[in-house]
Amino acid sequence: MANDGIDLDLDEGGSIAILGETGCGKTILGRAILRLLPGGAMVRGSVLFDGRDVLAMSGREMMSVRGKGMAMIMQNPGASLNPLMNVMDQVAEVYELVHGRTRELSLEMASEMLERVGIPTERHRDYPHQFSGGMKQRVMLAIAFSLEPRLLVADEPTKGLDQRCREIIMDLLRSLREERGCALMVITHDFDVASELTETSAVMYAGQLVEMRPTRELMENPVHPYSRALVNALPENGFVSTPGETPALTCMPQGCRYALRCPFRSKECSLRSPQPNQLDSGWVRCLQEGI
Amino acid sequence: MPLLEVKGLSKEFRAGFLGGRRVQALQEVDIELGRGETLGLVGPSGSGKSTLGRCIMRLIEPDRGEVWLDGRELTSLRGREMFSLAMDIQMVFQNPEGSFDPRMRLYDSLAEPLRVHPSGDDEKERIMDMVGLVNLNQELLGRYPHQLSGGQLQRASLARAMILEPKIVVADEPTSMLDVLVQAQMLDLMREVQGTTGVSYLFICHDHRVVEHMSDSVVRMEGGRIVDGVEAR
Repeated sequence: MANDGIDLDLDEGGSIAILGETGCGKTILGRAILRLLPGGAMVRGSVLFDGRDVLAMSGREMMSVRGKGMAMIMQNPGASLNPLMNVMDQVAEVYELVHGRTRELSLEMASEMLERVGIPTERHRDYPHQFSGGMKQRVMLAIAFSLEPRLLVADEPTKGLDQRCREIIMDLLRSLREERGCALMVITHDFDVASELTETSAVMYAGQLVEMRPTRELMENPVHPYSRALVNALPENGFVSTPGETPALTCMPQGCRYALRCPFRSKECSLRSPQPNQLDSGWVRCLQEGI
Repeated sequence: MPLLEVKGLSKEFRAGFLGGRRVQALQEVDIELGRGETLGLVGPSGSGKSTLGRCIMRLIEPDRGEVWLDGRELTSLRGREMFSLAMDIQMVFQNPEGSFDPRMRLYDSLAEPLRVHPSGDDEKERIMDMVGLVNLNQELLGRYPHQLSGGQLQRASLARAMILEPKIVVADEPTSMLDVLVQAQMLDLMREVQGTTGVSYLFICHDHRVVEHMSDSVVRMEGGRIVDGVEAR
């Protein structure tokens, strides 16, 4: 089970970060929300977008929600772009097909949008393979912006980019929220991205959310032992390491999934699965009182 | 005398149509690395850090300059001598998934350096030592790379690099594909291994915080030149 009992909500124009390590199931969550998982995936529960259950929609309804309603930028921008089309045509396609503009106007708007994300005019007719990773990610953002979605799910938008590129991408995502009131869900392992872009953060471990808090409070004062381990391992806290590995999604331990690595564990932890405990702000999934 | 001394190393790449565009990847680079020490190499993408590491390893042929390792000049080595270079310098690459033959079990990947450079030691015993050194579960030896996590593979990379007991390991962005917790584990492990074996590291990384955490001294590269050298730690 790649995702287990995920509950979260996001307001119009709001923002949330899903923080977790490789293989914890955070990408699965993003894809499940947009119904982009392969046919063999069994998704139970409900995903309400504007009060309507996405999981119960017909294919046609879903098509109308994806794009202008919800959009997603994927982890590997190189694999998301069409290698046989120049980037301006790919952005223009959105204006033509989604917004019903004429070809000419679409190209004009596409060019403006590419300019907006910092792709200079002379590169607009170039193909994806001619761009670096950071520039491809900017083209992806241009496409996402041009959709004018109400919710953008960004999966590891800064992965593999150097510091300067990361800052550019973060600025663009911030302006998307501020200018268009687009809600943002960032799936990331990068704490800087979460604190720069979101008000709320949820930490995911082995398919479950273990802590959901206002982002700033989570960074300054993490409660769940796993969240603490993550924060301690950050450069600014001296790379303090915690032994052990994440359990494979195929063989989950009984009880609390973090128990085996947890310095605060008691006997009970391996027997009983913790449920979310309310805190002053947010909640934590842990059996230990007052940790 | 330092263990490794690089003097005036230069490398130009030609790109574009008929090699019309020239990129000076290394310009007169000088560095020194002492025994049992870590030299950090930091700088933005494209500054020449990886090229420097690869030129020292002779994975790329430098145009000019000298590389001295323990009294031996490396850029002039030919044929059989070059082959023995692997006994002295080994490398850990950035992408753990791309560093292993997908069709070989982990055991065989670790055994390969011993089979190429036979020493007479017992292969299995040596591998078990290494697996112990990097804290890897022995059960993983029968697995293929796709059955291992990035963190496990990167530890295995270090084990494979250390198995011939080299004097230097060139680690090119060894933690930049890893998650924060796994990165912290890997950095601890590299220090531990250095403490046990006395190996020297040339530690290449774009994140200055990681480099400063790991290194005895740090040099900064930009546009193929060393622009700054500082003591750290």
